[in-house]
Amino acid sequence: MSGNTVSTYNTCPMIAYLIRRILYAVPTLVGVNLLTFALFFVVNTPDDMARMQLGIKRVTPEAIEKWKQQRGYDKPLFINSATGGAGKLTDTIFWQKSAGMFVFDFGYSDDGRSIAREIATRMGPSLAVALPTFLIGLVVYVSFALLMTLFRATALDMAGVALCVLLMSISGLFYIIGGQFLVSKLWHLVPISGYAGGGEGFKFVVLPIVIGVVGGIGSSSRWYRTIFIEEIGKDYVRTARAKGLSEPRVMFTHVLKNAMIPVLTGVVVVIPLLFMGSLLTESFFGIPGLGSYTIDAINAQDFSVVRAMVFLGSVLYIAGLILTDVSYTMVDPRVRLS
Amino acid sequence: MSLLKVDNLVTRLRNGARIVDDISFDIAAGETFALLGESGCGKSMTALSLMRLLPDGVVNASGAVQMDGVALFDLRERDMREMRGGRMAMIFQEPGLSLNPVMTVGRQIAEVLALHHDLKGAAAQQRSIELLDQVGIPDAPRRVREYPFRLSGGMKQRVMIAMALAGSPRLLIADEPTTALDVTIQAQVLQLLRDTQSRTGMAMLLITHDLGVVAENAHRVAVMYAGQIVEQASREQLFARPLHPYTQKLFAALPGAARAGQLLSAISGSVPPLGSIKQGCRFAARCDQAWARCHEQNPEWTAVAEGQGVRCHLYGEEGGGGKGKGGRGKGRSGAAGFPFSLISFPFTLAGRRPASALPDPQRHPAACGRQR
Repeated sequence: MSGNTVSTYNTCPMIAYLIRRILYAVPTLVGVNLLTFALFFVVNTPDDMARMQLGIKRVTPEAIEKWKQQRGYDKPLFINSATGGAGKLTDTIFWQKSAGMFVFDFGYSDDGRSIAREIATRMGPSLAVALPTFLIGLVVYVSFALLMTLFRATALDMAGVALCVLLMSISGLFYIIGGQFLVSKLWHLVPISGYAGGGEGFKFVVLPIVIGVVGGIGSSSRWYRTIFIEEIGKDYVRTARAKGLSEPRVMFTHVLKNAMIPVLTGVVVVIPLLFMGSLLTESFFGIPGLGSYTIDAINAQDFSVVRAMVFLGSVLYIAGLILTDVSYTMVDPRVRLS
Repeated sequence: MSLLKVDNLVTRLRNGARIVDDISFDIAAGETFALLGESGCGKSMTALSLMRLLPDGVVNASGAVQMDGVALFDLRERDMREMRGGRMAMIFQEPGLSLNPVMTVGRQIAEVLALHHDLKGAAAQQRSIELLDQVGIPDAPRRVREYPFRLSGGMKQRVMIAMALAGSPRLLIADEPTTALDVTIQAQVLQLLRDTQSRTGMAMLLITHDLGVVAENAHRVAVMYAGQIVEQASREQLFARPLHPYTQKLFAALPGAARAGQLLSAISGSVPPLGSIKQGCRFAARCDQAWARCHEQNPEWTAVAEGQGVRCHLYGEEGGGGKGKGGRGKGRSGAAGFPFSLISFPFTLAGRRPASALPDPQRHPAACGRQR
């Protein structure tokens, strides 16, 4: 991987590495786009979409044609043999719907609204739920895992692992529905669903956040515990103890920093994806975020929105992977990007 | 008065198997005491018992350890931490794995300085550089800011030693300090340990499976087999006249110039599994001088000469005296190691090439073959 680029950019191999990774992202995104397009139109035709949008009954062929024409679905899918030259490829649905996205021009949804504006307004509600869930979750999972590690091989640790397995074995849907039933319906503590901006919104997001955190405890804490326990058996930990350090000091200054390396792999990659929100949680709690936007678009067969969200998700995921690589260089002095 | 005194130490697994069985020895200030034995014989566990750093599932069952007059097993954990790294320090076998990979060398040393000398900031940095300089690391002011992965194995072990010295310990426990290093580096590190010891006057517990290392460094030696000390002697006594059949066989297994071209002799059989021997001598099955009594009765510790003792029926009052006629006779004729030891003693003492007398099966599957 290094080789030629190092000699060209040897002043700053990290920047060179990042540029190369961003360039690699372009073919990936083209592929993602192509796949989304193919999958969508394997099960749908533009006619189906029009009929769906206009209402199934009493739709005249003329109305369908008009709908298709207005939204640019009256062209062939991939290859337009009617025109010559570049138009053969560019004057198609695929080109018209995809090309703009590479300059982040998402176009309009089928009901005529700007997708970019929708994304901008819906990102807030998505983040309002996803970011606290992520941050609180991380603190809770790591603390719980550390607790189990400090008490490893005792009854407390066993009970913790058993609890984790139990929590892992329950479907995420159950937490949502069960939580809504208990907290909202029986105890009337917070509204079942809905959203409001500002401080008013707190009562709407608190339940989704709690449920999001609880739903992840099982798998995450168990995974972190495994990492910590593996780390604590290593020789340098024994050295640290032989220095006379107390067990909490050993844990926090030695073990935790080393354990962060594998933990980062799973954690940093999802940070950009927080903007996308959660499909399930947002749908169930009526949060007007990007997750529910995607679900609604799929239900409405709105291709423009679906492909925009898949594209955005892919971009954020790639960004997460690059971010992970960069974060490695911060926690592990042995890693150099080049 | 001895600096460290270990009395009847027993360390066992939770299931009851004794991995260190009734061990007693003492070390005087400025002295190097070697614990010699093959891997799995309990020498590292002995060391970890002294530090009270046994791994999960291993416990100190009984016995007493006095360090500088302080009974270690009676200390609260908080007071024990004062001892660890302060009055007694430890270095380990794999310097590559024993240093924290994501912490600079300087910070790892400074941690000890902060704990045991209350030295922080620039003063700690200055002292860390001094320590690195002392252990022979060139360009210490630069190295102090580097991470362990930038250093070679020998350098890492030097850092470990610097870290151990940072607490100004009275006792240094060196657990196979040179096993993971190649031969030329081994000699340098051992030299460094000797120099440090003569400068600071600290005592050293040297754990090794290498008779060459013992020959060059130890004042006194205890030979361990299957969790017990089977023989204890001064270095001169041990190399001049090994008493226990196991020790004799170890010497017999040494390669030497006088035996060039011959097959290396090995001790037949293998170490008994943990806790498998309920009665009798643990070496009896592999011993060609064993008789019925060896399989029935656990031999008691017998002092044979001033400073030399052995756990063997051949030298016991009853076994050696009138009763065990065959045993006694066999014992004399069977001091098979004796003539060999005369050959190997100058060889190992000369130290041209530390001979791995005890092939460590995990680390050196071809150790015997490698030695010439």
